[in-house]
Amino acid sequence: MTLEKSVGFGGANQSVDVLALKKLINQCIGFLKPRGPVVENGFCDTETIDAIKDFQLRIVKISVPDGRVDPGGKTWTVLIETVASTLPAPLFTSNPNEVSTRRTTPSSQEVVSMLLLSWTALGANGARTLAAQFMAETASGRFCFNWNLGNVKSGPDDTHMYLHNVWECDTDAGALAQVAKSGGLAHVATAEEIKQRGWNCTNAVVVFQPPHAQCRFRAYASLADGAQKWLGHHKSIALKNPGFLPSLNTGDTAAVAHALKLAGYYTAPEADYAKGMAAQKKKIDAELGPIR
Amino acid sequence: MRKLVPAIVLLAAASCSEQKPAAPKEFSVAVQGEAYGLRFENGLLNFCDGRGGRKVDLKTAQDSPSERVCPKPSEANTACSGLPLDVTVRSPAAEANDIVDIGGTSFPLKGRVHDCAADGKKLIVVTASQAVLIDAAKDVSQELSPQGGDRAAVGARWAAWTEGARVRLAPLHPD
Repeated sequence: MTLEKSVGFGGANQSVDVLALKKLINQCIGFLKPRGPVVENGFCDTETIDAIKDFQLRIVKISVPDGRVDPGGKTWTVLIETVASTLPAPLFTSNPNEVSTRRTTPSSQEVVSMLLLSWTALGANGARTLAAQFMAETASGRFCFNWNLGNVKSGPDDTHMYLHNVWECDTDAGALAQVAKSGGLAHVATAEEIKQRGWNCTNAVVVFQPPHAQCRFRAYASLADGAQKWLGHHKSIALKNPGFLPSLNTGDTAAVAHALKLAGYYTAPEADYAKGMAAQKKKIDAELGPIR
Repeated sequence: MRKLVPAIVLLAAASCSEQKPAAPKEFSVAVQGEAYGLRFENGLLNFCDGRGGRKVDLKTAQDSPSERVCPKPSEANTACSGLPLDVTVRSPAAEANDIVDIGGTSFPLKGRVHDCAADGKKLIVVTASQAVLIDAAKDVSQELSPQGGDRAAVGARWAAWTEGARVRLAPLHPD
């Protein structure tokens, strides 16, 4: 599926492109409830522009949507990914514990509500702070599949799904050995692939594809189900670090980032992690309004 | 002079009785093909490789054939699942390294978990770039090797992991 020229506010609006875009928007209209489907024709009207803006605001997470889709642009890329996530994904094995991989992007409100229900020690501000951590880790929930909140890996005996392009750094010889043992499910990344994906290894990059065990992740039935493991770990951190829960409840994202760093939760630079969390917290506060 | 002889004998005897047995040292044994099914049993490390069943005597470091039946290699434990410890392996998006979570403490690794085994509160993990021993009781980890591996086992006193064409064995420090 391609878009020849831009569609929407100020776009070229070639009828063939407008029709293609409207069809794609309708394929993922379920994510834009209560909005109904747009009329599928080649005219770019206010309904089309409103639908694009709604998609940009709610799915692409653009705070000031421009109502325009450019070929290869961010809105177009996310639209294609979102449509793909609505299609039934193939299964890779006959293991009855495998389920189809589907994107499950919760809203901030959903995460906050779930946190308040699942961890009674959290106040409203604490739930928002923890939701901000989740949103920062998953690019506003876009990298969340089958409600697996922390990208938890799975054995074959648990309910699981497969994700593509799991990568690992290795020596040149080690990478070749891994590929040789993979049964065709791994390859050594090319220089072009490494550049395109932004992978950073000193030597070789090994890339695994389903159903390699490195691509197997836990799949959960609901947000609340998936949150149990993730929250359980956070509760354990709170037991070991008495300052963690108060930091969450006062909305001190820098202190929370510091506590998580001390617990070894992430490997990114602390300043970057804290900055990401603070930005998400601000966004959530703006979205949900003042705490009552 | 006659009185001295028993004294010397006594001194020698005392010296002998105070001598501690030599502390076990790390060693390795060569394997043929892929080594798998590593497990510690009754003072031995048992495993399978291209030759069939093998046993390594942990006191003498002698490697010899065993009667063990070796089926095809089973899948390695890349998710640290089904262990006596509650362990979670996470793969943060856009990163090349896994993180092991145990009871509120996380242990970032270099690489993906290739295999994982536990004994009590001790966990051994091998990736493409290291072998790591995690002591969940003490919340500490120790890099056993900066080389990668594919299979691992841990017992009360020893850890073992594959490294290229060898199985390496390291004694664990007593608690």
